[in-house]
Amino acid sequence: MSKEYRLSGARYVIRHDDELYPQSLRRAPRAPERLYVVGNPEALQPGLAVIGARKATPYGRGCAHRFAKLAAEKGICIISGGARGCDAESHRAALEARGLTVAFLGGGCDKLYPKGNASLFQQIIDAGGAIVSEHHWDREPRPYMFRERNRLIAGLADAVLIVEAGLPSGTFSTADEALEMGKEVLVVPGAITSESSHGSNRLLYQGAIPIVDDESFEDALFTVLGMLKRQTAGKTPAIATDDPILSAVLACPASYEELYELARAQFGAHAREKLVEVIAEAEMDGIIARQPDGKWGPSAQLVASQR
Amino acid sequence: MAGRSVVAGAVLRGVQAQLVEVEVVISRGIPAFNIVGMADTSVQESKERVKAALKESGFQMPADRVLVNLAPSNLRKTGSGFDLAIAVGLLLATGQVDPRIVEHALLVGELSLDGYVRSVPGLLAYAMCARDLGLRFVCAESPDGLVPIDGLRAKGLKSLRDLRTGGFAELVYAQPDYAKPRNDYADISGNEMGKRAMQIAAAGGHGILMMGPPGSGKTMLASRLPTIMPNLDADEMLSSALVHSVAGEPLAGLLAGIRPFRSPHHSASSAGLLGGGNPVRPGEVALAHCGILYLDEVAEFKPSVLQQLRQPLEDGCVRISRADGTIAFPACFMLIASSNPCPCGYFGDAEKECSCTWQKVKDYQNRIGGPLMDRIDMHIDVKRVAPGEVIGQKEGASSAELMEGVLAGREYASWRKERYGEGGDSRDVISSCRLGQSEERFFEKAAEKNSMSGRAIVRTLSVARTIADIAQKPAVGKAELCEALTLRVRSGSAL
Repeated sequence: MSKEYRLSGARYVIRHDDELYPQSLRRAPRAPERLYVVGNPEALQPGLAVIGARKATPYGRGCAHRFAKLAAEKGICIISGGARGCDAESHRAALEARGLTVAFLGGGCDKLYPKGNASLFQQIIDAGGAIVSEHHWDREPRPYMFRERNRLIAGLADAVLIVEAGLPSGTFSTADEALEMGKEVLVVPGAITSESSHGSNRLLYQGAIPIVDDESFEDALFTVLGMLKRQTAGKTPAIATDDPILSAVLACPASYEELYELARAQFGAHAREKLVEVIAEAEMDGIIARQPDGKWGPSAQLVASQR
Repeated sequence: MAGRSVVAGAVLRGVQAQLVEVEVVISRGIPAFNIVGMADTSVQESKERVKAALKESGFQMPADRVLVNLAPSNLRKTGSGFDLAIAVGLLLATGQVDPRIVEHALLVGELSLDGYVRSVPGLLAYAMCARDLGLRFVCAESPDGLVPIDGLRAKGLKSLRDLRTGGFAELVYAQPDYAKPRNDYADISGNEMGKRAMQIAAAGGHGILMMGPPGSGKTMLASRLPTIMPNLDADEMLSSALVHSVAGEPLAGLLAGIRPFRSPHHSASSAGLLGGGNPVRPGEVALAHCGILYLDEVAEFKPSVLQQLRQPLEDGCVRISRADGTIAFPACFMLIASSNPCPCGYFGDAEKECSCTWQKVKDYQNRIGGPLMDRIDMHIDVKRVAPGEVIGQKEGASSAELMEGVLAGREYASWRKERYGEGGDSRDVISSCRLGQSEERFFEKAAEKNSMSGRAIVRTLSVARTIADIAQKPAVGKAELCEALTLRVRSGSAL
């Protein structure tokens, strides 16, 4: 058992009737009596929640990074749950853009979960952000607390951006909370064959605002958060490829065997040589990456850099 | 009645038999039957069998003091193989049998109560001992676990009765099992890249890790490996048969040249996997000598047991140290490991949803790494094949087609090694690739981009070299490098 990491920074207990207590949270259902905050309590301001699956694909992480960074560069506070995967990626992106970011924890602020993110939490505090919990400092995190925590993320934010959500998932439940509170839900679509995008695509079907490129994201920020649209917004240059294998991988993650079938249909006898060359070169160029389950998919760098 | 005799017996130590002189002395006194010379219980029990067998065969058991000494007496004797030597020694000492018929003979066999001779495990080791000492070898008439070896003068003895006439029989050896293996890679449809990886592994003897959900055909891919490997040559067959003989395993497949395929269950203990027990018995790694060791569900093996696999993997033999010395078994094998991607098995599966938490998946995949990763050169993902593909019976590569490539690759590799004196160390691997300038630049860039370690670079190059061997190309080109890169072992930090 590793030693419990203790975050260093100013500590505040903000009561419900305190001035520092964020207005938007007062309206949240079952608004907590007290908020336990490490860091800058003024960071608790309305912003954009960026959330997604913990078991994230490079696509999900890449999207989280890209949009969180875009928003943070405009001075929008990025709110998330400090979990692995998409959450951690959006906090990191905000830090990279020297923006403010707030992480709501499931348990108490002295019982960090996941422990591996302790240094990220410390960076958030050091950058003027805050780590917040509705529980007492030493409260052990329990699985049911995380769903409860989601209402605070949705409550504090003006809008919730979902980059990747399976079905059913905690991310999906956060979207429900947000809709109940009347907040806007922005969703990045995924391949309909990808399990990790079922939830997000379903939300789109139910009427969430689709985010399909930087422009649509900025439009959404403009309408929802009243941000001024940046005139220099670039278009999304898709990777110029007429290679059928590469375009298949970029469209939807695929296994080696599936790609081989495709290559055989295209190139016949030299399918294998052609396939391995395309794959190895594209991986080397950072366009595609191997996912934890062994499939090939678009790399996180690629998704984050398409702007 | 007083008398004395000496006959030759032997005791097994690992896969080697050591000569034991069986001295029998009969002297006057109160009737007794004693065996001395560090004989354990199984040898002590032979007294009763010898007594009964002598009587049944119509010989006399002397009503005097019988003392049997097994020399050298500092060596622990075990097993029922001394029955025959003790019985014959008794018969010689009492003058019931002509000593000439067992002159210069090593006797090994267990006796049944009616005097018939049975085989004991490890006959091949005893026979080799007899041959090396220039002795004749006498054992049961149709011995289990014995194969013909050059320079051995061996005879069979059916029953003690036949000693009266000196009627030894010719040995009836076990017949090789030439039955065509029922397994064929053509049975597997839709896993062509997996089959290709198996071909490369078989050609270069590379260790391979397969990851995929339950029912994706990992075991099918692995168990068909012997069908694409070249047959055992005479030396390999003998050294592998020796281990199987000592372990009491059937030899018919080996005699036909089929390489052993061992797949120990993940509950295997370290004694079962590496050898152990008393007397020391060869474990699965020794039985896989010259063949394939398949560790299914490798993450479920006890980490301490896997840790112990390191030494045999590095040295090609397994050493078991005991208070009375060290025993070595040959253990030169190809390692195939497979694993589910996560505890529930369905992480990344197209249809079933994975029920594991992220941390669990990560922990599980980390368990696979560890000690064995040093010896695994390739990592493939095996996907479940859609029912349509299985029923549709699309034609895929068959074992015969794959074997062509394996044989071509092995032939070229041995020619190349002989011609250029290339060994297996990392510098030789790199120089044997003969990378051109543009290939070198390409590979350097790939290694940098994928942050490969030095070891990963060498292993990727050795796989690329094997791929070029299959195509019988003197130099590794870009195509081979690309294929090797897609098969490389990925670091656990991919998660």
